Amino acid sequence: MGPSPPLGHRHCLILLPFPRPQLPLGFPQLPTAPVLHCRGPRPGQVSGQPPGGAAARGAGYAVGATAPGRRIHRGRFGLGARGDAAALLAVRSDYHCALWKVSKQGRAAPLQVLQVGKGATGISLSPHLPGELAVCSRSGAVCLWTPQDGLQQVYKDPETLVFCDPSPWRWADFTAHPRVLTVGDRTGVKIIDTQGPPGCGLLLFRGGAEAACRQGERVLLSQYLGECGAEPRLPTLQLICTQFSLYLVDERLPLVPMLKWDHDLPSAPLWAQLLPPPCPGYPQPLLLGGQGGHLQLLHLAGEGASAPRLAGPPQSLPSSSDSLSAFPLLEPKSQWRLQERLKAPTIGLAATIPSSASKPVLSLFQLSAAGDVFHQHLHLQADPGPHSRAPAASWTPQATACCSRWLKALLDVPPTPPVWAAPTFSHRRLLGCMEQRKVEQKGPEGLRAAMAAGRLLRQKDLGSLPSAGPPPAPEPGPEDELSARLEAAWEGRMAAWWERQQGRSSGPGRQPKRRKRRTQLSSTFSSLSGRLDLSDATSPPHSPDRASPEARPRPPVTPPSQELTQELWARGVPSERQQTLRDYMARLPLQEDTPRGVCSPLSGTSSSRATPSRPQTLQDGTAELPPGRNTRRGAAVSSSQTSRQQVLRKKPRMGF
Amino acid sequence: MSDFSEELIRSKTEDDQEESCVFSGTGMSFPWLQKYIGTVATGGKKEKDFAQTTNACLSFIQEALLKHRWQKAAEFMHSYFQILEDSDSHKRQAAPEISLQHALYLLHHGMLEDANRNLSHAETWRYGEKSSSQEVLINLIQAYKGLLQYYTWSKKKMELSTLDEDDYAYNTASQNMLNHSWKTSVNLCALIQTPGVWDPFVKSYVEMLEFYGDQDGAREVLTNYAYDEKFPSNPNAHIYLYNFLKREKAPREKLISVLKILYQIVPSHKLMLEFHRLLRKSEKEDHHKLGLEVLFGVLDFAGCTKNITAWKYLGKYLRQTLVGNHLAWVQEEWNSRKNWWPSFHFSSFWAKSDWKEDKALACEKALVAGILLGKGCRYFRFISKQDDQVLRKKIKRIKKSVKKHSIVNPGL
Repeated sequence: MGPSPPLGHRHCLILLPFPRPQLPLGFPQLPTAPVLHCRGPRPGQVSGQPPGGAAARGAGYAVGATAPGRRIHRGRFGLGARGDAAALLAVRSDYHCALWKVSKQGRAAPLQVLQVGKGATGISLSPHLPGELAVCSRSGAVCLWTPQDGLQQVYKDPETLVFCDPSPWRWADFTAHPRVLTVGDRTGVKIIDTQGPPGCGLLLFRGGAEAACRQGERVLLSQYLGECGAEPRLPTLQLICTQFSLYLVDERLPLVPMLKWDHDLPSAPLWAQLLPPPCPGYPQPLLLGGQGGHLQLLHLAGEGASAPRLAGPPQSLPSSSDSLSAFPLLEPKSQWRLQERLKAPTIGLAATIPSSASKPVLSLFQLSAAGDVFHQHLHLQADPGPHSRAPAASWTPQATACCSRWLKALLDVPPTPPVWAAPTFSHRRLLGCMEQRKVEQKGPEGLRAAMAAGRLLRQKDLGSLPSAGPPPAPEPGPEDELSARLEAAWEGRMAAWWERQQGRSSGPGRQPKRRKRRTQLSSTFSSLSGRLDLSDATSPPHSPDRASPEARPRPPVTPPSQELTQELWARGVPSERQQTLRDYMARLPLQEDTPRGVCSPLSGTSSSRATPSRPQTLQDGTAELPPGRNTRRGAAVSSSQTSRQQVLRKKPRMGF
Repeated sequence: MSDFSEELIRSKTEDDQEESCVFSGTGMSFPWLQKYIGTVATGGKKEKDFAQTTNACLSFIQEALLKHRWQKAAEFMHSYFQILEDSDSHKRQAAPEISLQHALYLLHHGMLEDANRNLSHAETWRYGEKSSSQEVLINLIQAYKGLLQYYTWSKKKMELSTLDEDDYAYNTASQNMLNHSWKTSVNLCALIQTPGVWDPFVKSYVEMLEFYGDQDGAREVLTNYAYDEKFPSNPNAHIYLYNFLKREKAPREKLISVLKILYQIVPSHKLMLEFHRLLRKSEKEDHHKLGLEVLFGVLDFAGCTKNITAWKYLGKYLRQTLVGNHLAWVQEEWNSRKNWWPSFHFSSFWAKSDWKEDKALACEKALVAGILLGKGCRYFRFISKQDDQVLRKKIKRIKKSVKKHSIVNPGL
């Protein structure tokens, strides 16, 4: 498998823990190689070696991704297969479940595909009986499925288990008894006997007092842990994760968790994997993966009759976005792309301890929604003592070469234009907000009527409008928006820019707030928002802003010619002399001059309203701007700048 | 991303009243989760600035700990001690729990004296009105104190066993012990009345009662712990009762009745083999039938598939049952298993792997496979073909048994 552009992986199913001649190239490796058990990473421990013999029986968890339109497939592999038989892989998509067979050479072929009309929500492969699967559907049915005998419904309950919390999500897994399944939803987990009478069962975990759950705590993951290795140490253990805590429940002692630990993962824990002990007598590593790429490594001790307990301090492993620091610093646009790419949510986690290695190594693979596989090796390390410091993260030469190839491929692909998604604020709340403000009634009514009819909102729907609208202004091209965004990103204020971008689309409810903020922001920002307002103003039917009376007293906008004059002025004057100039100009009787093309009767009121102490602050802001930046500002004039422009326009005539 | 995570996101955007945090510029993380935690922790109240600062500090400590940066964590911890001055009543009420956790930590590290002191502090902590949850917590703290006292008592008991009964020292020592046990039982008693899983406390309490000859008291505690419906179903409760009755040399019937309940809760428990022996020895026919059921039940579980004793018992008991003309019992058990036991236990993969790992186990399994599936079954065929010097005679015996007893086509 040669290096290929990262986006190329978007459409293929990636089977991770298979021995390949080489690791899939073109994937970044995480910057550090933390230790398995002890106290922190050691430099030079990242190994570029492929995980030889990684297809350990019963120890894999593979995930695949599909095209963006379809949801992510999720499945398990290798659990049911024993010995010489081929590994099996269960795959689920929205409406299909499939059983795949993976030959020893690593080739995967579908064995059987099942269509689930109501939508499939969960699939598990039996660790006991080869080729047996448990499938859950959105209707609340749980079926056993074997390629030979087909489907057998073993449980059906459209309601949630413990309390009413509408959620079609269900997950079924196996237990220590091959004929007994667990069924989980957001409220709890139940054990059902597939041979018993239908509907019977026993609650294994209840979101509530027994487990000392917090308010609003919901089950996000329930998984059988007994399937790890040929001879499981804890064959009756079930893992249950909520957004706050991790619970280990013994099937033999339902409702009373054996262990509870607050994981404090910043994102929802959706993946977990228990691995066999790296060395005889060691605790078993338990990996916990959050959706945001956060990883935690715990160690589970206890065997047979003794209760499970956590051994050693838990450790958070570096996530994919942590490897950003190991890449060379790029130009802002590329840096941003890289950063976004590394931040893509995790959609799969797989780990294995290859038995062939002389020293135990834990190989960890993380699949992101963008299609990248992140890989890190964890080495078992002797305790370096409490005073050892975590060394700086670094990559091996191989890893660096691999990542630079990947980065090159990433940057070679032209950036896809961001898919514009409608803001998710509900209409109901939007309108409620307007009514609360006791605005002119005509506007919201017109808006509501237009929305009901599904047509565009026109000016006549909105009642009386100012007799003279703002003059036509140049439409900012798409590259203007991009440059504005880049400008914000360069300043490290991407978040604020985005928030404002969001706010702009959210409607009149947010208008006054934003306006207020704008007056406080630096001139870079005010010019930016000015441009945004401009685009609103030039396309009246498009924006609900026009409906708002706050939006209506919009100040006049300046034609591009004025922009140029302003820039010329700013460029020509040395910064140390600008204040003198300003003082001088303040004394000139120029204020009476009406700017050309700005003849709105409202302009005076608006500018006076919006700029009580305006000229001083804004002029200062302009002076601070780097000259080169000004050329890109487009129609960078905000409402509040009008009065200043009236002053500035005169400057060329002054001979500067 | 699974369906469920999408659902999470969706539910957030629908429910959230402050749309600003949906896109907070932090990319893919879920700011709502953090916010949720905040409001949950304070019971929905707006946090004060002070609490916010200490919370932030706590998260720094957690992060440093998780990244194994101990030095840094210690520095943050130093700042965090301010929380002791927190005036939040919610936090104050949680103080005993923090003390208890600290005491447990000390216990784990063998600092028993310190742990005891800590528990005594926690025990006397009062804040606001005593709520029911606080009462359970105080009970728990007292019980842990009792457990520490039990530990001292246990040590004294060891010392006592080395002393002569006529010795003067013996009397003081036993008097000392009696004092301890009285304090301990007061401490333990309250907790084990409360529904819950209190295994170590019950065990030590019963041991003390038994030592002072209060058999009735011990029986009552254990019976209550096992059979009170308010308590969660706890297999250990039945195991303790069974072991107590066994020490008491209770009649077989009584023992069987206790283990019957354990069988219903945990059919895979290792006491089930003992249960089988009791049933086998019983005179009642339904006990004999149950004895077969119990063996099949044990071998249903993934953790018991390599239990050679269970396979040995099953082979032997199958023969015995079939000789006793109870083919129907065997068929009844086999009917619910015949569609999955062959691939679960008797596949050719398992034949090879068992033979490689444990030849004795493979032979026992081969006998059962032959009886249940006939001599054509893969497992039996594989084992019977093996040529092993030591086991040749045994395999021959197995072949003979299968030929004689197999439930498949007995005529052929």
